[in-house]
Amino acid sequence: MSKSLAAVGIALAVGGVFLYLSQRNTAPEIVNDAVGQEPAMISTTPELAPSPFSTQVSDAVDSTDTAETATENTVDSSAANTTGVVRRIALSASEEALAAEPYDLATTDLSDDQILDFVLRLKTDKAFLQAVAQEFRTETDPARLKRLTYLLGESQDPTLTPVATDMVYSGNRDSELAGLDLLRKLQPYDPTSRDVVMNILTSDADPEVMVGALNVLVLPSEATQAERQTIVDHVQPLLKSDSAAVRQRSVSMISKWSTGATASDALLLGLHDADESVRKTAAYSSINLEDPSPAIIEALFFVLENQDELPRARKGARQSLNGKELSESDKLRLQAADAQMRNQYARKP
Amino acid sequence: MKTLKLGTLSRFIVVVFFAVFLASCSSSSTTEDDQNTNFDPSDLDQDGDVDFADGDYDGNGVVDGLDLDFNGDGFSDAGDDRTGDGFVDFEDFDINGDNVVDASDDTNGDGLINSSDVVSLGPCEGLSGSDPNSSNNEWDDNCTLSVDAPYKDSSYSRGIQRILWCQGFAPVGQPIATFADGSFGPNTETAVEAFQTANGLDPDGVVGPLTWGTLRDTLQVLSEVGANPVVYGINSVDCNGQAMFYQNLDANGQGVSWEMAETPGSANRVVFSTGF
Repeated sequence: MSKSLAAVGIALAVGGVFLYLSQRNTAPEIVNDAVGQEPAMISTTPELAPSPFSTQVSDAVDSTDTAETATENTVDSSAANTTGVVRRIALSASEEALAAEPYDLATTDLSDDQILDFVLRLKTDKAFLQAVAQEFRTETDPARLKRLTYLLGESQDPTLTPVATDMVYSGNRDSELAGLDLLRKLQPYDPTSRDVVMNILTSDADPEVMVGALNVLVLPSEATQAERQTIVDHVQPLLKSDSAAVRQRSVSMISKWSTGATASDALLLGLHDADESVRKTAAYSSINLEDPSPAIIEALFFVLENQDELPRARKGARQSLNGKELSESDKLRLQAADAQMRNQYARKP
Repeated sequence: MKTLKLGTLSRFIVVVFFAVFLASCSSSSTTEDDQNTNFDPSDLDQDGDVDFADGDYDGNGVVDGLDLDFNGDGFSDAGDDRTGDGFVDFEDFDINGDNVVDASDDTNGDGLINSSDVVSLGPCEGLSGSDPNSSNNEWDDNCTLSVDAPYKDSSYSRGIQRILWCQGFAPVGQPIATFADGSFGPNTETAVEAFQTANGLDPDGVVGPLTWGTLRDTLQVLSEVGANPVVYGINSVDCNGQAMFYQNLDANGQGVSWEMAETPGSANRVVFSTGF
C-alpha cells in the first residue's frame, strides 16, 4: 500500500514537473502569437502584408528575453487598442531610429503594402506620427508632399488638423494648398477641419485656394442638419463666383451636403451655367437627386438636346434622366435624344 | 510476487491516468487556442451565439448543410454558386462584398441571407464576382469603384489602372504590369485623385459616373473605320499605339460592349467590365 502511495506520489511529482515544463515550452508560443503575427490579429485588414518594418524592429529585440518583450508590448500598445493591434514600436523612439526606418519617411514612392504598413504605424506610434508631420511641415518637393499628405490623411488622426491649419495660414502658396489637401483627408474624421474652410470661403482668396477649400468638403461625413446648413450657407454665394472652377465645385458640394429645394436650386443654376464644365458637373451631380422637380427635368433636357453641347455633359444628362421617373412624352424625348447622340457621335466613313 | 505485480500494475495505471490527463489538458488547450485553424463543431460558435458570422445563413440557430442553400430550393448544389467560382461558400453569401458574412448582408432584414437579398440591391452592390461581358456600351454607369467598393479587385480596376498609368498618374518607375494588377489599393486611389484634380473633378478617389466617363474620354481609336471590334489605345506618350480596349459593335455599327487587351498591345481579349 505504501509502495502504491509512493508510486502515486512519484507519478504526481513527475506529472507536475512535466506539466510545468510543457507550460514553459508553450508559453513563448503564446507570446509570439500575441506580438509576432500582427497581420493575423488584424481582422479588419486581412490583406495586410507582413511588415518589413516590424521585422526589422523585432530583430533588434533580444529574442532570449521574450517574456519581457511581451510585457513591453502590452504596455506600449495602449495607442493601438482601438484596432486590437499590438506593436513592437517604442513610443520614445529617437529621431535617429526614425530616420533609419526602411521606408525612409516616404522619400520614394511606396508599394500598396508599404503604404498600409506605414499608415498602421502612424496610427499606433505617436512619435512616428509627429516625425512625419514635421517632415510634412518642412517638405518642399511636391511629389513627396503629396505622398506625405496621403499617408498622414490615412492616419485619420484629428491631432493633425492644427498642423494642416498652420500650413493653410503659412502665407506660402504651396504650403497653403498642401494644408488644405490634408484637411480634405481629415475632414471625415474631424469636423473642426470644416471651420478652417468656412473662414476661407468667406474671404477673397483666389480661385485656386477657393477650390482647394471646397475640396475639403468632398468626402462625405456625418453632420447634423445645422452643420450641413452652415456649409451650404457658406458655399451658396460661390455659385455666382467669377471663376468657373469655383462654381463647378460649389454645385457639386451643395448637391453632396443638401437635399430638396436647396440642391435643386444649385443644380438648376449649374445646368444653365455659361461654362460647359459647370453644366457637365451639374448633370452628373443630378444623378442622385431624388424626386427632381419638373424644372430640373427640363434643364436636363436642355443639356441633353443641345447638339452643340459638350458630349460628356450630354451623356451625364442622359445618364441622369435614365434613372428618373419620366412621363411618357419625356421617355419619348429621351429615346429620340439618345438616338440622335448615337448617330452624331458614331464613327462614319 | 503477487504483491509486486499489483504494485507494478498500480504504477502502470497511475502513469496511464496521467498520460490521459495530460493528453486531455493538451487537447483542451489546442481547442481554445486554435479556433481559427482547427475547424470543428466547437469552433462554430465564435462569438458566443450561433449567427450569420458562424455560418448560420438561414438564421435558425444551427449551422448545417442547408445554410448553403442560397437559392432556397432545398438543396445545396451548383445552383447556389452565386459568384460562379465553382464553389458554394461564404462568398456567395457575402452580398455586399465586404469579405464578411454578417447582418449587413441580410439586406431585406428577414433574418436570412439568400437570393432575395440580392434582388433588393443593384447589381454593382449585389455581386463580388465578374460577368463575362458588359451588356452596355457606356462607361458612366459602370459600378462605382474605390478602395472600399465591392469591385475593388476586378478587371474594372485593371482597366482604370491602365488608363491612369498611361496618363502618368502611377508611382514613378512602376511598370504598368505592376501598377495595373486589378487591385484598387492606396496607390490607385492616389492616382485616381490626381487624375480627378487634373481633370477638374472632385478629388475623392472614387470612380463614379463622371470619373468613369472622363476616363473613357481619354481613349483614342486605333483601328480603321468599319473594324469590329474597334481597337482603342490611350492617348499618351508612353502608351501611344498600343491596343488597350476593344469595343464590340452590333450590325448597325453601334457599340454594345467592351473588352480589354489581355496585356497592353495584345490582340487577345479578356473581360473588362461586369454585365448588368
